[in-house]
Amino acid sequence: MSSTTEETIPTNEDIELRFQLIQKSVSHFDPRFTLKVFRELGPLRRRLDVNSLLQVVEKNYPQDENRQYLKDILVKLGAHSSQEGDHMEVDSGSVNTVLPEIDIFIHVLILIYLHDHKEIKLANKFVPFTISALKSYNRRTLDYISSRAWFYIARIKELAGELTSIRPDLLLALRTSTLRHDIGTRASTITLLLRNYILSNDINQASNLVEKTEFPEDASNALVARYYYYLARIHAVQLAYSTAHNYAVTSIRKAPQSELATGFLQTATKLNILVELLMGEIPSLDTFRDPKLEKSLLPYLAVTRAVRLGDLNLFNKALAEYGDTFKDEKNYNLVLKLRQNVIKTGIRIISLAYTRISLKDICIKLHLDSELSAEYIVAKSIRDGVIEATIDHEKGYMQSKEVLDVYSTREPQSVFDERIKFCMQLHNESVKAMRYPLSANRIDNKNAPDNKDSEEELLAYSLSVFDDEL
Amino acid sequence: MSLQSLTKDLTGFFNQKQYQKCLDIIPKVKLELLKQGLLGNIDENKINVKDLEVTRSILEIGSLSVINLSKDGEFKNYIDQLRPFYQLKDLSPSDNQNKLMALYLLLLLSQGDLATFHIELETFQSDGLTIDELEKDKFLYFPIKVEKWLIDGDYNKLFEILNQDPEKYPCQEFNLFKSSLVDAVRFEIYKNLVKAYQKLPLDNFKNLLFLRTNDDYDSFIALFQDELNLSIKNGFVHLNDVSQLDFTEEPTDDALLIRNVLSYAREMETII
Repeated sequence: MSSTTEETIPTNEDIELRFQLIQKSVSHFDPRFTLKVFRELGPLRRRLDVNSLLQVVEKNYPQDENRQYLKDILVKLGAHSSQEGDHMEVDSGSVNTVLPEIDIFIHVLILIYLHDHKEIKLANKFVPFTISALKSYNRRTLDYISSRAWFYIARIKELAGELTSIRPDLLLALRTSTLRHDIGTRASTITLLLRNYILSNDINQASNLVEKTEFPEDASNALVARYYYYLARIHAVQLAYSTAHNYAVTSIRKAPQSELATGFLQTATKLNILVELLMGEIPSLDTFRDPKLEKSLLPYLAVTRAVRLGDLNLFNKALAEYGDTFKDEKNYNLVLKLRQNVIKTGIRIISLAYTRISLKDICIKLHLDSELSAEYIVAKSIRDGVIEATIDHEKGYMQSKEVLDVYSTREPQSVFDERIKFCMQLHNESVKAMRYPLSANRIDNKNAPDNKDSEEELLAYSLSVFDDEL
Repeated sequence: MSLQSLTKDLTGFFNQKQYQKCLDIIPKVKLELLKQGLLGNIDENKINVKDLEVTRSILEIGSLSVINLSKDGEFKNYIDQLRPFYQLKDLSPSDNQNKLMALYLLLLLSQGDLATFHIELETFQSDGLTIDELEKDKFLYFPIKVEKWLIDGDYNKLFEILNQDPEKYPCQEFNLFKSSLVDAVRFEIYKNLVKAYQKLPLDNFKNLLFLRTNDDYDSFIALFQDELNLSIKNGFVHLNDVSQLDFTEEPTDDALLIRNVLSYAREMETII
């Protein structure tokens, strides 16, 4: 399907073309064709209109089918029935039953349409129908489509502000999909539930869910990236910063590299920056220079600067200026926790610059209230491993220990070891993630043109794995 | 006995601060509430708002009674029972909500459960409240400040606020956590001192730990007897850092290197 044909053929026929792919997928038990349908959904999504949807519905469902509500909702949106006098009539008589996959796919299309045209109220009414339709089927070829359906259901409920009411349905879907080994739906319902809990600030529930469920290993990359992002969020709240950092980095690495995922990448990077700062590390400057992220990261750059310089006044200024942005992004509490890191970084800089400095000077430099405060804070920093120093209480100064030459320790060796292990692991994971064509071509080698076709298909698929829509 | 008279007795005892008697009555009250469908699975549509507010205030009395008797576990149960009531938007806001949450936060702090502490703070965001806004609340500012200073290591401020005139506490129940918090803080300071000093004059040692009297000092030493590791010579406290003396057996550099390289070789083998 090249882009030129997509523009010329009518929308309803375009939809029909996808039905053929889905049918092919069902008859071959090969999810690749369904994946292809969703991968190329973008252009179709932009030109969906009610009339063609209605035509498709009328054509594909038998007359007495109990899917009357599909027509009703489309008519409510202003679609004109074109059944009379159209060539469709002939076809509609011949349809006896509709494929479950196509049935759900039509539901998804309508959900997408309602979502894109901001018809949230209507969409909210349509959701229960979709859920009951989803519940009525149990077919493995349906997995991918239904995981998409759940995504839009949850999104619409979220926009309608009904976060709590959808939870039981999602939990039920999670249970059913786990029992049926339906990886797609399972992974997507887990991430949707986590998102739901985190949006309503119910971190406790979210962390319980993570503990009680096992995220399917071979879920699609976009879902894995989301899952790790939520894990990072949960751990950041629980003060487990280094775990949170690991998850955030994995999430960023796994995130799709396409344009569509920029929003996700921005959010994940923001979280990662904060977590790094909270761990006492300064994120590298090129993170902020990435053209895709640069603009949205400005507030975080300001905070990073303040922390790096250890300047509490600068920090408060950044907080005053960008406070609302942080609140919108739900990062405000994390930013507030950074305040103590500003002091710690300050102490670290002082300890590097001076071999011996009086507590009084520290107190002045860091804008602390009293010498006693300074003494306690320095002692705490020593214990937390921020600086290597001792305090002489009688003479009232802090004495830094001589900085060791790192290359005389085991440190470089262990960092090197970590990197090698990471590369090995990456290689192993890539091998595992590779897909091999079905054994069909081994049996039937003569069928050359068909072979070539499936090869191309496979190539397109493997490319798509990397930029699967988020 | 009817629910009305039971509730009347309960509030009577509570106002006289006879907490044990409150606890004796509460199971009966709860039973009555259960019979009327006001506890457990609540169907919001069937029940009128006033009844729910009464149930909520009964639970609040219960939670305040148990905390006054220092029954920490039961207090947590009460908080969990109260939570759904606080989430109902139809009820008029309760005066006790922030007080109880502040007490709960203090309990978490005194038990050192910082993760749950922060999870609880996040839940306030549902009402659009961030931490610096919570600090303005007359009850909640207390646990939040305490936690902040604890993390910062700003212990003299912490002791100032803990040792202030008990009358100045936003509510009397905060006093219950004072001694356990003070002990926890002193041990924290001690752990810092061990890392930061080699030796200290005894007087300064006492000062830094806020051990104002000899009794304080003796009770502190007695309380953490097993964990303290210090010796006193000529008026100086020598802090022996155990972690520096404790050399664990680690493989030598060579052995480690060989083991790593072998594992790389194994991996390479599978690739080729």
